[in-house]
Amino acid sequence: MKDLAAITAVYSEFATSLDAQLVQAERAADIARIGRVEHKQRIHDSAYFILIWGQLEAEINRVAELAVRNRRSSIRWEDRRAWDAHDPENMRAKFEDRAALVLDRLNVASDAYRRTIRYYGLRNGIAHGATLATGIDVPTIIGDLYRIAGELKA
Amino acid sequence: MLSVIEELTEDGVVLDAEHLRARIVDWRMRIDDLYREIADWFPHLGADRGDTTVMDEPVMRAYGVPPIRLPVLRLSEADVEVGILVPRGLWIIGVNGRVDLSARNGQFLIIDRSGLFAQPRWTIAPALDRLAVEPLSRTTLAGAIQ
Repeated sequence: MKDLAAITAVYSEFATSLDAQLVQAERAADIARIGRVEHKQRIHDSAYFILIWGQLEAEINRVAELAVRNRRSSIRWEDRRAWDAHDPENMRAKFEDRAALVLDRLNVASDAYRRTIRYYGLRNGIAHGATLATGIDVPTIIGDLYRIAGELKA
Repeated sequence: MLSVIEELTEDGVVLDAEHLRARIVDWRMRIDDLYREIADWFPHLGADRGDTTVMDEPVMRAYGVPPIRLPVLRLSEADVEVGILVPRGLWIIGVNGRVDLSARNGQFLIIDRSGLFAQPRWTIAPALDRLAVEPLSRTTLAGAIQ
């Protein structure tokens, strides 16, 4: 999660440039140009979202592997038997299950698990070219990803 | 408090044309209330709502909801324009609608951070420093336009 501040700064610079292009197109009442700039904005937002999502996903994987290593090191079989099903060198669990290893699925108050799964769904929607969103407020999402990362427990 | 990402993934919301129309009515009301409040904050400024911008977002097209026009607010002082507010989008992941402000001191984003159909929580941030978010108030808006 170390590059998120730099990502926000670069995102803001290019997003502001695209906003200015949109204002110019609107002043010229150029419908075709407005459509092109809006399309660029959606691509820009999506690209940065995928970039920041990748940082959270890597952190979830890292903490999940650490959780498995810690629990498998117990000498009490009662403590480690469920964890023995995971290989920290080769985690095959699907993403939702890896996230559930490090976030409390039932913690309604924080809702971090559900928010993570929603962002994962958004990431998949973008990857498959299927999102209905007009845009993504990347700095706001970055703030939320930081909060989620702060709740990961090995 | 439902958010746009939940709405677009139909997590707790039935996404259909009727729902979208209700959201558009709510968005228009929030914009009207915002413009009214800004005019009240700066009674010495001219506040012209004559121009409009088109709202035609991807989810509207997906559900066959026709485009509509939303008001633009032009603020002027002694016939010199000091700010233009343009509604930019409603279905933006992470927020509940955004209005862009072009002002003397640069570009600003005025963002509603409330949930769907909730009391608005407007904030303002410079476009080039989007993490420097402050609650929208007479003072913070004056910093942008004066």
